[in-house]
Amino acid sequence: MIKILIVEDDENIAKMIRATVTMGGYDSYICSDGITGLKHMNSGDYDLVLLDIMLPEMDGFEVISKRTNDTPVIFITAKQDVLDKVSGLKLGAEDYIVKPFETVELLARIEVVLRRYNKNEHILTYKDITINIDEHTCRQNHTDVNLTPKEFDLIVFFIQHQDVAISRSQLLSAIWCYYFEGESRTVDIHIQQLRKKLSLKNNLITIPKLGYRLNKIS
Amino acid sequence: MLAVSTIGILLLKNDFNTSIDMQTENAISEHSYMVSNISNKIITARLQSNSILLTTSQILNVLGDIFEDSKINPTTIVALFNKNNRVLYNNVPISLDTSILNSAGSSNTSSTDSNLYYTQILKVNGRMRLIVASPIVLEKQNFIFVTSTDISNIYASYSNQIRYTKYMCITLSLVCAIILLTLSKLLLRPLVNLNRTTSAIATGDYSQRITIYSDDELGELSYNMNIMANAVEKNVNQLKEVAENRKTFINNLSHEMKTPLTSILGFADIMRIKRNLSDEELSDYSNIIFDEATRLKNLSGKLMELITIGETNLDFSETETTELFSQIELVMKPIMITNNISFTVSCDSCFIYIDLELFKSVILNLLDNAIKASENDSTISLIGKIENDDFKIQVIDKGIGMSEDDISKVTEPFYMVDKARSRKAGGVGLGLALCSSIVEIHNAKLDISSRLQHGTNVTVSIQIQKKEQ
Repeated sequence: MIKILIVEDDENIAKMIRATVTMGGYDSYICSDGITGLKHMNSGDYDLVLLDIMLPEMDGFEVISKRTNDTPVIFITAKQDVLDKVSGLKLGAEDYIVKPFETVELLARIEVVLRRYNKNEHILTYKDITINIDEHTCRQNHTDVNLTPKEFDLIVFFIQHQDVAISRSQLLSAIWCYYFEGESRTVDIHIQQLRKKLSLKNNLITIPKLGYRLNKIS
Repeated sequence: MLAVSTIGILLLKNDFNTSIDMQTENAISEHSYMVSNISNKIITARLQSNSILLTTSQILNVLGDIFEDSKINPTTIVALFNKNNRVLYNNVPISLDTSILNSAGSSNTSSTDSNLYYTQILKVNGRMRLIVASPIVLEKQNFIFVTSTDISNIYASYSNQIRYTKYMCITLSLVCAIILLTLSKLLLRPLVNLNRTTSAIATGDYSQRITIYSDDELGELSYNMNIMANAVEKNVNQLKEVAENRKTFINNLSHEMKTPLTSILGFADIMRIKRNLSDEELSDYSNIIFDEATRLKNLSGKLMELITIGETNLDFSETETTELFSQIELVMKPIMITNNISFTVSCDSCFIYIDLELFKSVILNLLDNAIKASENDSTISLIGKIENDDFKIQVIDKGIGMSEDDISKVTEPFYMVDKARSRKAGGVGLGLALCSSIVEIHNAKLDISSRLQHGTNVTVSIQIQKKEQ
């Protein structure tokens, strides 16, 4: 299981991040100051670090510059300064998320970084569906199902975020890389296609006022 | 310089003219001497030949000797013309200007005056020559007799002198110019310096100061400019500090607002999108959202107080101190009891001029801080005593105390000595900033002394209102 280190001094925010990554199916551990954060980071036990910048004892910039291994780091900070962002990325951070953020956004960014480090799952299964991300194939009941690239990305995203309601705008920004709404018809059409092709009518459900959710098979 | 050189050149010119005149006179006298010499020779020749009149050729024979003689002397060249300007004799070929011959010839016919001389200066083969011509009558025949003298050396010395004067003038001018330039530079140096410094100050380098060279008006001006620059620098630094403080304040504020917002938004989002939320999660998350929202509410309340403190109409009145203290004791006693802290109050009676509600909030805030710093079973004292003209209010606790470094920063907005502890107690880091603003508008003083692990002593000193009764 993927293990994520959370270095955050505010207790409630740390708790919230933990709840979020748990939803994404990751294991996590919380450190509340820079020095213990650095110690855990250098142990090499973690696949990813979510690092706050304003920390007691040692700030996030110092922590990342003193790390001894190449565990990927995502900065999570209230500082919106472009300069902070630049210096954070220069020091070798993989990404930079500004507080406050949405749950799905954090999960998506974590997913991207893990994929970059080849630490994510390569084979995903749901019901009788098997998806091989490397081969870009989708099989149901041992027969290939023909999916367009967007449909493929969409079903992967849903399987990775099971039991989580995802809004149309979040899907647009994650799969289509749009950052505005109004194109939500595109999402609806693709969802309909997915339901039809993979017979997910009762699993990929519409949540009113929110978006869509792929229910976990219990 | 120009005048000197002009005068020099004029003098030279005058001198030159004089020497030319002298030369001319010399030439004329030599000429007349030669004329008389010729006449004598002619007469002698006539007497020798015993003829009444000599013919032209005879005259020429006689004169030939004289002309041959004159060849020895290089300065004088002689020529003889008859009245039709035909050359009868010319020992050096000079192309004479005919005008001189004409004028000599014409005067010759009408006049018997033999003292008429015509002079002309000609340039011959690169040398200046003074030509003297005069009509002479020999043996009843009219001739024009011409002599010429070399006066090149006068011209040469004149042009030498002119050149010399010119060089002298130019050299002297240059020397003068250099001296003047250096002198003016030296004299203008303080002014240039003043100008450079003021323009540096004008372009924003307020730390520049003018060096004072002298004790005169310029020195005084420099001194005053320095005073002005000091004032400007002070004001600019103050403005910069205000801007810097404001920036820090806004940065801190945004951080303090974003922290609870992140939790609220995050947990609300999880509650919204997660399927099958357990009852435990639901109560946990909603409690956190409530707590963080309360923190935001506290923050906005305190912030409003801090912002409006200088603007709201302050309600100042004379207040009796024991009355103030008993009001505070009434509010604080139950809180102290729940925190298991023994609370002692003592107060001297006098009148102070305050806004009661605001001033009460200062003391309540200080007591609140004291509670936050204290363990259970600790003691907190509130003492009011008269010292000279001041009424001193002391809040003394035996709590955790703080370091020197913390004391200096503790009145800055959003500064928290122990962030985690303060947040748990619902603090937003604005209490002491608020207190110090209120104390300031009362013209009072806030002093903090503290030792780690020994406790903190906060003193507010305010002037006593003299009652005339």
